Amino acid sequence: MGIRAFRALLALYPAAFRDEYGRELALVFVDRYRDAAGPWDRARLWLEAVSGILVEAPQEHARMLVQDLRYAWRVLRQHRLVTATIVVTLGLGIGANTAVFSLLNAVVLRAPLPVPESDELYTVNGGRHVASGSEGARLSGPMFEALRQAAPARVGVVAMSRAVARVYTRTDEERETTPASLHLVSPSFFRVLGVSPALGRTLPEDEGGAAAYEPVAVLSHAYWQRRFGGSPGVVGRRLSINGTAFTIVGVGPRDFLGVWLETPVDLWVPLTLQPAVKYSQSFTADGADFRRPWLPQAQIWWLHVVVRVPHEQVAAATTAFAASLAGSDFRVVLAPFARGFSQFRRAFFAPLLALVVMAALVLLVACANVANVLLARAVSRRRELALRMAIGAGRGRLLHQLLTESALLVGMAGVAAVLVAGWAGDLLVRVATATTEGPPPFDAPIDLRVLAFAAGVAFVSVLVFGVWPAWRATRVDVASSLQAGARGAIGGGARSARVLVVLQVALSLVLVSGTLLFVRSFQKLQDVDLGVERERLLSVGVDPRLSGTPPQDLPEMYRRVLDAVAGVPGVDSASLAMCGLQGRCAVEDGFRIEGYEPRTKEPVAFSVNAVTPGYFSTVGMRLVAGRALTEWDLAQTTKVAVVNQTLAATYFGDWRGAIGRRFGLATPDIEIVGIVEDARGLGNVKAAPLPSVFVPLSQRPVIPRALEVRTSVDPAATVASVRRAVGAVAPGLPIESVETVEARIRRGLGQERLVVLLTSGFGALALGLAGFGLFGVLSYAVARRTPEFGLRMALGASRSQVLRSVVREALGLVAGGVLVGLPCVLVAGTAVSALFFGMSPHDGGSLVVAVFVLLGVGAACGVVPALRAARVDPMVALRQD
Amino acid sequence: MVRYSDSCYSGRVPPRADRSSADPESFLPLHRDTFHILVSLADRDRHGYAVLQDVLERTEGALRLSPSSLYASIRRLLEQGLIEELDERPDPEHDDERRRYYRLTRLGRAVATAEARRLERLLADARATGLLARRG
Repeated sequence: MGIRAFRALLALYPAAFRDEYGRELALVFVDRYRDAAGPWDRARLWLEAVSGILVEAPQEHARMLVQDLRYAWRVLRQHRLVTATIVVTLGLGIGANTAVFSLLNAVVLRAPLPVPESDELYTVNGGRHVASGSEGARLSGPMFEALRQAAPARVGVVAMSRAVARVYTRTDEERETTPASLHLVSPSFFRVLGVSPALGRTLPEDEGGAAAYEPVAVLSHAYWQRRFGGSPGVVGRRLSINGTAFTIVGVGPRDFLGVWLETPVDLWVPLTLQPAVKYSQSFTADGADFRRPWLPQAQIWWLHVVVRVPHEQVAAATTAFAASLAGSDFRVVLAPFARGFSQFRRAFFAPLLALVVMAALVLLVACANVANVLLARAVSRRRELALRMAIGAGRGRLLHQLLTESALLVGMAGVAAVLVAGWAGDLLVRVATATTEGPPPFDAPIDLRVLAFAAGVAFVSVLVFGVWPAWRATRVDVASSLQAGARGAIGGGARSARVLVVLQVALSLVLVSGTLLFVRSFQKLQDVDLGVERERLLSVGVDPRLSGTPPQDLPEMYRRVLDAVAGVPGVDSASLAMCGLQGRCAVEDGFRIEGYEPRTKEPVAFSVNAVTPGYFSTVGMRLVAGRALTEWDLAQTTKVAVVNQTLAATYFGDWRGAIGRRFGLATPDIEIVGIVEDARGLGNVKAAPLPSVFVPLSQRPVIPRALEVRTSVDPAATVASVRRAVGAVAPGLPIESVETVEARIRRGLGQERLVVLLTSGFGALALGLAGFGLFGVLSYAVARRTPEFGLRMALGASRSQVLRSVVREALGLVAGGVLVGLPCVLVAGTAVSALFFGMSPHDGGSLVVAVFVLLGVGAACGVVPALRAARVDPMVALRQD
Repeated sequence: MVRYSDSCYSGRVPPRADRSSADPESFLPLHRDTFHILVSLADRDRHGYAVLQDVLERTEGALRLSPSSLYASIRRLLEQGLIEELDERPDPEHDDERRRYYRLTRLGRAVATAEARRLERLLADARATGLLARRG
């Protein structure tokens, strides 16, 4: 009984130790047990035995692990080339996956907003004023008020401006203003979201009272640190925002950056202060008076509304909200808001998903490569393993060692992957957001789950292809294995290696042809005809509302600015426009067109811009019919407009017939005098041109926000002199941004550039890995067939015949891979066709190029082993057997 | 080719060749258990249980080695080349053929002697300072 229990305890030791000393240990125990005097002594013996084993067994395990690791390290160092190949290959594969998935995680699957019960938050959506695909509907101030009144108990309602605005701030001590991002929010914002201030208080909630109009601001924690060095005395200080003095009342919590993923907020101020901060962005309006405060106006839709609704009340709240807006042609849908707003998420979801899939394919190719290398080595290791078994190592012991080796390999690859992912992750966010300096707007921390998953996949492939063949080999008869030597034991290894190479080539074909498609699509995007002459064009963002000039004097100031800029050396011409090439013009809805009957509910919406004469020649838009806008189109003359071809063709059939026709908002009182070619928005050149209208600034007294400058020299060289010229004639006019149009286009293509950068990297990586795999397989085959080549040459085959046969084998493997890969390319192309611009996903040219690239790589990788085969000396080769 | 000799589990491992020329001083000071095992193997070859009993008797019951720590020490000593396992049986009369017998190697003897000298010097120092009574 006692000895059996003791034997059971021995199971705690490593098997090898047990095999070696277990019997001895048991014998000693039995001897002592027999010699023990009485039950007391026996109990003590037991206690000693148990505690001894509990102390010693873990030490033996640790010692063995260290020994295995040391041994594994020596083996890996001995096969330095193989080890380096595997570590680099897997490191890149795992790292690429981790980086891409981490970005996807940060952008698309991002953790919810750092507020309590974020899943109770919804944004009010639905109805006809939804901007295409946007997260939240555009609502007016009165609609927000109606929703707030209708909200059932325990339901909170918050409104906020749709855009986070760029404003200029100055403390009492400062002379220069500095830019900051500002979000207008209803005072209930912080309470409903559940955000408590880190310092001071949040916005005062005083319905309609005097406090509701007090100019107060809450700082974000990051802005407080950055601008005020985290000074606790900041509460109560004054801060001038776009010229109005505000009082700082509090600081938000550390982790709360607002509700927009890509735009961290610096300042929150009440919605009622919209006129004070001169907010005028991202709205839809119909007959509104923009000079009066926006909040009370029903004709201007400029708000997002977010509500907090307990789960059980969602249906009831939706009904109540819908009832409150009855008659306003608005269908209420509550869309989940747990993760906040993001333009980015929508734009990047599909490309990132495609990239994740591509990264996974690269990992597969990498694993196949590693498998190939390990398979080849497993064959050559059979001798070593046989030798070790011959000197007494058990199979279990060998398995243990092989596993340790694999784990060490994958562990090293994991370290490499973390380095790759850390470096690539930062680069990806920068490329995607077109951040050139300073920190990117958000970061994508390495996702450990993905790292672990990718490393797990790699480990399995190492196990399957490295350990399993070696382990199987230990079953063979030791003696015969030793005799057979390295050359003898080939068997299934070579066949599996070929299958793996074919698989690699197939995957590479998918990746390479995908890369070519993305690259060509990107080139097309960059070269797309924008409808404007993009070279030598400078776009300057200005804000005349902040210049301190009285409204009636603004036209005079515009003239001064235009004259001054046109006089700068190197500048050909300059014009002002309501919305610049940099951004997008507001789309106005509800137009009436003479002689056009819209179908029921058909929106008649145009992108509207107001420009100074000479605008078309300055930006290089081509007039195709009629005349351009001139100095003689004044406030008191006939209202005129130039429209684009899309508008003319959409509403007047044959676009030439549009000249002389009329349209307008309330009544058709604007005459079409000219037609220009379509132009694309610089921020999104993929989008089809909208029906667009250009009216004279003199006939539409809006605030021009863009100064377009045509230069005869490199536009970047004129930036300083243009700034000086503007400063000289309009000292108070803030210049918000200066950018060449070329740079703006580049910035707008961030998403495409990211995709192209990554796919090119993936394609090149896959190609390199496949080539490497092919090279390995062929080298191995040539080494194996040396006697055969020798025999053939002895029988009269020429060197070139041998060379050709090896290259033919290489091309045969590539051809096999291409055949397997072709259907995959077609399927994959269809799946991601939406990501290509002006390209068929089954573009024949790209596919042919990809096939030739692969064949070229195949031939190149076959040449070296082929030359080796051709150099075989028949006599030496034949003697080898 | 890889060397396998570091693995003591791969069969009966002979002491490492490079250790036989090692400096005995480099092993000092010895662990208490180790020293006792070497001492008990100094006058004759013994099997595990005999070592255990010998240590128990010499220390008058003060040092009870557990089987597990005994064999952990034996494994280490084999690895270090201080003891070796015998192929022939030293004591045909009392032989138990199931048991493994151990013997001090030349290096093991040198190490044990060096440790004894070290302790002797320590003792002499203790006497010189009057900590211990001088031998009469």
